[in-house]
Amino acid sequence: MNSKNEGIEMKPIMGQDREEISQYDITKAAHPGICFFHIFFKFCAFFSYLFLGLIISSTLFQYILIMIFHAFDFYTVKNITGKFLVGLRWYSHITPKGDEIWKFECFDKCKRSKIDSSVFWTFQFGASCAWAFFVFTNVLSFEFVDILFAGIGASLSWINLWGFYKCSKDQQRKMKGVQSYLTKKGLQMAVQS
Amino acid sequence: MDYTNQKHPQNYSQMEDLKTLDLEESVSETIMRDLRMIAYKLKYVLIPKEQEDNGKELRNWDLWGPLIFCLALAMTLSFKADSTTTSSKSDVFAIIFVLIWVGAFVVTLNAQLLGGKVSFFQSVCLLGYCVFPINIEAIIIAFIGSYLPFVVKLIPVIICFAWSAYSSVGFMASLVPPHKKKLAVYPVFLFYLFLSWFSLIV
Repeated sequence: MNSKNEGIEMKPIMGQDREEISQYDITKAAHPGICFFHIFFKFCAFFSYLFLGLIISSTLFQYILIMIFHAFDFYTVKNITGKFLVGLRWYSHITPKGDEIWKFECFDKCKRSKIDSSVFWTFQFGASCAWAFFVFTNVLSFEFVDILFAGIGASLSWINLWGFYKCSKDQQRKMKGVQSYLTKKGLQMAVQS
Repeated sequence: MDYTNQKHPQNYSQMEDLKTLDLEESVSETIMRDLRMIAYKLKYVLIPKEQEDNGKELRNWDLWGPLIFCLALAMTLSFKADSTTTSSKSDVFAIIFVLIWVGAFVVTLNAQLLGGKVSFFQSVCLLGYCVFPINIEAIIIAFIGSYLPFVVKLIPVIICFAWSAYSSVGFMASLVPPHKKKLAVYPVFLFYLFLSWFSLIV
């Protein structure tokens, strides 16, 4: 009897699991290659930070590789992944007067796949938190060089996260703007008819 | 310091129209476009004849050029460093890396505190691009330095230092009020002098 109950209980939970897994199923993403690179450079940066010392004895090459992976990850997320996976962009524009304006934009035209966005946000946020954790542990153990590399990773990740978060707020504001415009139009038409 | 962080700039839609083309751009096009921008800015900064309007092109700052030159300089000097102890090589790398970025930050901060109206990143971008002659000099010395006496090695060092300093001083001096020019320019000299000297003795 118990096992029968357990069998009935397990079904909805399994259904839930299947939905969650499909949210991260990269093979069904709109841009699987770009999702892969989004994850790949982060993975390489973490791997070289944590384990490269076991493979390569020269600390110099470790440092070089970590810096290169940090740079690649930042560039990829800012210029390529953000644009294709979530349709957002942020940059700085300097006016002729010399004032610096930060712009946070979203592309209306692209269709945003849910899997793409969830992969993007999960891994960006996860990587940022992980680097922040490493900085914290390094500060506590006074490992200054490790602080430098973890700190660079953390700051680049959080900068990207902040930039895209502001873009997504802009996107939400735009959506609300469109919604209010449509409701206004609808009301006008209703009043006229 | 005079910044305006506008949330709704006037030409927002204009900029968006121009840049919606970006969405159609493939990955390789994006990368090539950025590389071309770096090469163009490098030429602009280092070849004085190209400069029509001081700092106009630097408005579209980017920090990728400085990162590439910083990495290249750090790698050159650390490869060349004393190979008897492996720890000193990686130390040199970390020192150069931190030195360039913190140095650029301090020089920019100095210019801003003197009343200069400059975008922080624009100034760091310029200082980073002007590190390129020191890169050249470090590579020259790395390859043929061991065969030359010290005095002969000084010649490319002095030429490249003068080139770096001249390229950046023009821009930095234009940012601050005239009576404070020397105060703004002095740290720039120090910065490149230290980098050149470091590349000579390592």
